[in-house]
Amino acid sequence: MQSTEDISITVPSKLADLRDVPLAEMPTLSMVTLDEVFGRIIPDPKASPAPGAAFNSAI
Amino acid sequence: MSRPPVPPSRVLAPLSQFVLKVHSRCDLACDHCYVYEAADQSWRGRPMALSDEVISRTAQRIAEHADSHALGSVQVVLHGGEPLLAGRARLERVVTELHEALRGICRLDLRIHTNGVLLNEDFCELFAERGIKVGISIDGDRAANDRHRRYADGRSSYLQVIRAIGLLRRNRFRDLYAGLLCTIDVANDPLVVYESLMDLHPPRIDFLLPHATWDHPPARRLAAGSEYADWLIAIFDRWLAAGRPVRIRTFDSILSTLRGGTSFTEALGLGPAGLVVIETDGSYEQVDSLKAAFDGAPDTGTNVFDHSLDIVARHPGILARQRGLAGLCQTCRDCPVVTSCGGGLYTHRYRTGNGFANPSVYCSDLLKLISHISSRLRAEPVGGPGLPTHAIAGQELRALAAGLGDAAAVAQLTEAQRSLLRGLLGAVYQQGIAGPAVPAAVKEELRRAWLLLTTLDRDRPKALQAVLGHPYIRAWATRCLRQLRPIAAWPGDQDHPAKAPGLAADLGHLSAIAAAAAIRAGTRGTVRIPVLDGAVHLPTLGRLEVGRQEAAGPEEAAGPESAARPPGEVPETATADVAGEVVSIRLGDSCWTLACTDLLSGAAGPAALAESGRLASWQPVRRLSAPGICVAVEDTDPYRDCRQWRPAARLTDAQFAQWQRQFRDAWREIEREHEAYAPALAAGLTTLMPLAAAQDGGDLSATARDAYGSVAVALPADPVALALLLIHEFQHVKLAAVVDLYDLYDPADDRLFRAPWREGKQRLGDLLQGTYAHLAFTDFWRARQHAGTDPALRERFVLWRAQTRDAIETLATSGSLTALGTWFVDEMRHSVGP
Repeated sequence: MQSTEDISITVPSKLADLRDVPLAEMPTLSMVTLDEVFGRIIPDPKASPAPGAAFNSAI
Repeated sequence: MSRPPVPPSRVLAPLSQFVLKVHSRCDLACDHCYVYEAADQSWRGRPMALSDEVISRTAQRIAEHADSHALGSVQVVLHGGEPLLAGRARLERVVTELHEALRGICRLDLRIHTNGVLLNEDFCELFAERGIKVGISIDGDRAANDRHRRYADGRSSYLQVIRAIGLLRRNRFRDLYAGLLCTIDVANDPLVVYESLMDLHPPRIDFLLPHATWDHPPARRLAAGSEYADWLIAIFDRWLAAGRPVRIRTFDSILSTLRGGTSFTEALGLGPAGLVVIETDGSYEQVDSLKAAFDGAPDTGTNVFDHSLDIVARHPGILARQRGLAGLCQTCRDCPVVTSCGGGLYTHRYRTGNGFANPSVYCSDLLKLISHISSRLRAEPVGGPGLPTHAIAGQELRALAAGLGDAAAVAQLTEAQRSLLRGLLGAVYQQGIAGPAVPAAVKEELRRAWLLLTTLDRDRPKALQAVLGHPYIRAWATRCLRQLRPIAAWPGDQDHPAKAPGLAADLGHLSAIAAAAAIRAGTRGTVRIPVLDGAVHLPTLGRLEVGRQEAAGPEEAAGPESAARPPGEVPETATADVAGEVVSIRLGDSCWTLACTDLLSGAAGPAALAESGRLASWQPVRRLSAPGICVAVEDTDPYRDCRQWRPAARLTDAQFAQWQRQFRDAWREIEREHEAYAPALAAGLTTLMPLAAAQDGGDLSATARDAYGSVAVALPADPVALALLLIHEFQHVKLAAVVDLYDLYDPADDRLFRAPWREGKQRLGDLLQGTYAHLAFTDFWRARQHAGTDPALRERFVLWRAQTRDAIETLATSGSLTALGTWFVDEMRHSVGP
């Protein structure tokens, strides 16, 4: 989590800088990278629908 | 996500998940069942099924709790015993009462978890009618399942369960299929279990550690062994290597918590447990796995007749599971993986003498599993190997937080959007090509378009960048990915959404993007473009209206089609041949040739006549301009309809002229009266999408998260109103781009909050958006109160300022802002002023 003490300098995000990654290489990026990019903007419809941790004995 | 301390007399976290024991008996006699085979034997004294009175009181209690805590949704799990033993009529009554009690209060997410053996079409019809998702317990292949999941007389239940899952996989019922729950037995081969479950095409799986405590530890070959971790790691590695083809709750939770996110199961993570069990006699109980700890362990001494859910939520046993790190023993608090593990399932920590103040009896397994997954994550760092991440200068972010931000601040947001767009484009291609249900002909066109795009990216990157900067490329890409994402859940199925013609048309738009970039680059390339709404679209340039074709030939049948086209209509594609100075569009027997210079100049093209005599007209994207700003008027793009209001039809020349006059005057107003907003607008507002006028004649405007740089407006009565709408909507554009980069609040917070300026309640993210926009409203009327003598102007300013302040305080005290979000809202507060 970003410390607010650092605000005066720069505020890093988790979004990978893909501007200089050749488009041809984009599909080979790690799933972790893509998840981080897209998890923010395309919520997974199968993510837990209710807030909080789900009951273990049902799915 | 950290929340501020709450006095112990109050509810720490509202209850939002309710496990309703609709029947207390079971038709199987699984020897690993915690309900019947564990220490607690309270089931013996319970009624078999819920009574009408218990159903009614339960529904009322849940509704009053949801209402008083402004919950956006609650989840009710129909459970047992075996819930299907309650019968269709009893289940229907439960569901009806819940829906009626919660109507107008919050959303109801209903699930049932069953062993499946009684599941039939009659039950499924009920579940389909009432939107109830179905989870099934199965422990793997037949040999694995038969190890424990048998009838009392020893018969196997396997074939009945497989039949039940087959029912859920039918087209009619597939939306009901929630997933499979598998209890681990390390005597089973993990990969055989995994593959046998995958063969059943579940949308989700979870693997459960068998319930155990320090008093009754799990069977192990070695006292300090980690067989359970080894068993799960074998599956994890297979699953990861296969591209994570299905959601596995345990693994997803560990991956999420390792990255600072939330867990999707109570068995992991530090998130507060917000669930309560309601037994068939109306007793409230803590989570029922506690039955494995000691006799009476889940008991709360409360019930639906005499106690509210707020009272239950203050029960020490419930509170103990909501204190996060503070609720764990010292060993856990010192552990490097505690934020992911969270001490494991509460039940598994129990030991006679010191209760739950212990690590999990599966501690060695959890540590090994999480460490293994963590090491795999480190091998794939978030930014990808060697990739930097975007950052915004603190000074710029501070200005944005204050509701403003200059050209430099907006430029940083725009650069981050470039990364998103490149990633999205790659993902559409990757997932489109990999989609098992995407037709081969569509994949072939994807490959052709991708080859052109990657060549342009290498040789003429600015031309491609000019197209990817178009706001509706992101709207198109997210639309594609939303349709493609569930593919993992439906492998091999006949009616996967990807087979719907809408997706084929959407994927075909990649070719249109490639053609537009090729035209801008002045290079060569040939692609096939879907005909959408009777037009061939070239994003950022315009559209060639060709009219609707009566019937498409067989070679077009596999191509894409209009997003707005009804499912089942035969798609139509045109071939675009870009040859440097001209582009030829060929559709059936007709062929039109257009000069690329005309397309790039934005000049309205003359009607083109194909050799066959078929008429077509080129409709360019036009531009509104004023000194210091130029924006595209987007009234042609097929993906512009991504907001709640209807887009206007193509503007006539007279309408466009009216827009131009009003835009020029509005911009003059902004520069004169609201100059602090002008630099960001000039730098970031690229596109204006005309909306159809409101029926009541009122002002109408909107922004879409997936259309950075674009605002939608119905032409208002005067330029001052247009100035306000542009400023207001661009606030949303800026904040959405900030939220693309940073977590400002807990996205899992489902509570609803009241905004002072509107009826009803909304989620925290929406309230933040509204409040941020109202910073500009307040500022707008602050400036305008000095522009005339009308006292109403001052009144508006005072009203907006008061309402914005109220909303800021709601945000600040929500307990769901991150540290950065708290700072951001604090900057918003300062900007409103005294």
